[in-house]
Amino acid sequence: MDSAKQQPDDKQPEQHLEAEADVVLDSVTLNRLFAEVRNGAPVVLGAYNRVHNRHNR
Amino acid sequence: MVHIDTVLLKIASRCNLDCKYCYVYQMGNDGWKYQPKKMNEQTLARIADQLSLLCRIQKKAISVVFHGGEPLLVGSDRFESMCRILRAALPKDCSLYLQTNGVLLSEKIIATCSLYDVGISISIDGPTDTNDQNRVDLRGRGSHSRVLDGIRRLVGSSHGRTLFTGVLAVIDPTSDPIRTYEFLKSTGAPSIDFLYRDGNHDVLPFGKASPNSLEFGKWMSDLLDYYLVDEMPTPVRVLDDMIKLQIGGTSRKEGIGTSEYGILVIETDGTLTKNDTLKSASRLADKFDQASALATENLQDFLSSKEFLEYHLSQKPVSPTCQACSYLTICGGGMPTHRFSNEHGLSNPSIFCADQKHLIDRIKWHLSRRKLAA
Repeated sequence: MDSAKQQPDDKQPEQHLEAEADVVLDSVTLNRLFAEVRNGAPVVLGAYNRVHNRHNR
Repeated sequence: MVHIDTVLLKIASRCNLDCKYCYVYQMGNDGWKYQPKKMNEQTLARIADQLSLLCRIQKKAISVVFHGGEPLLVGSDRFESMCRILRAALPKDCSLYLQTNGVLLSEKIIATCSLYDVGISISIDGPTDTNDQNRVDLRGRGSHSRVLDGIRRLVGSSHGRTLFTGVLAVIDPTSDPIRTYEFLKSTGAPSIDFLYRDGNHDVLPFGKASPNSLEFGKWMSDLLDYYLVDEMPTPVRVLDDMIKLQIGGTSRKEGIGTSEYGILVIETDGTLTKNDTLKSASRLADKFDQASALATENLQDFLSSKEFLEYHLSQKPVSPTCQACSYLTICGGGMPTHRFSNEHGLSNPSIFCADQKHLIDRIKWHLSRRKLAA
């Protein structure tokens, strides 16, 4: 966990960071999410997922 | 035509807990008192027929979520009957889910869920002290140990792990996010959903000092920092959605991003209502002008009605502030009820606008420090 929170630079226009094919990151979560985006379908580990539940309450 | 994705089916109108922040019972809306305590099977059967027709017409499957109140107050026999009725009526690719507080999650209920393929999501806010601050029963007693017993029965059963969809926690901004996350991981849940407390511009959510304060944004940012370095993480779906939106993906969860989300809410007596979290806004905020009882009316006609279409569009953020905002495609404007004010209706930014910007900025920082190409 970063102890010194750095502030982001000037607010940039909205950018979508594309998922490059060979990016390997120092984060299990980021690697998983990039893979999901590249593969176009969510890989939901262990979660019941026929039509993935979207409700939020 | 609005495609319906999710049907929230309030099979019970009462609850065996008395959670202090509940949008159904604690925020001034007493509509639950006028509902039957349990949905009867005849009503459910008519609903099932209408939903089956809906799936055929829209050529898309739906998720049906047993909800409430506490849905398991219908009892194990009626719950089994309801599962059977829905499974017989709905196309095979439709999902059934149970959103429960877990207290009544018995072996019999779990067996029914296994038989009828019902995913189970359990509400629990964190370790004992965090959970029992607010999730108490009608006598004011903490519910944590009873909920944990339900979770243990679920993960200990032969099919439990495959049915367990996750846990749902309402954020206490005074709690430690890391400790909360680690506890929720320890339940064995395959995913974790975090919710902001309900509130709006007229009634601030508990724990939020002002529209510009950042209690919830900082809590989520601290969680994000830890989540991204956790070597054995449990997916936190709201964070996953927000990150994926930043890297070219799409969101899944309600209230994040700008994906279409058609949701129907059906009350215990079979009537259709608007987004039920609007109960926290005002007494009638979740009611349609036309009293539409799904038990007697044609669902397709209702979904094509002007009133429903206007309501569906109103779920999207409409305020000029949101429309002009560079964070909109990730934030999505949040949950509609968080945008409410008596003065402007839903035409406001979310009461959590500042929190969301703080969190989104933190996500961007994490991505940019890894020098990810744009």
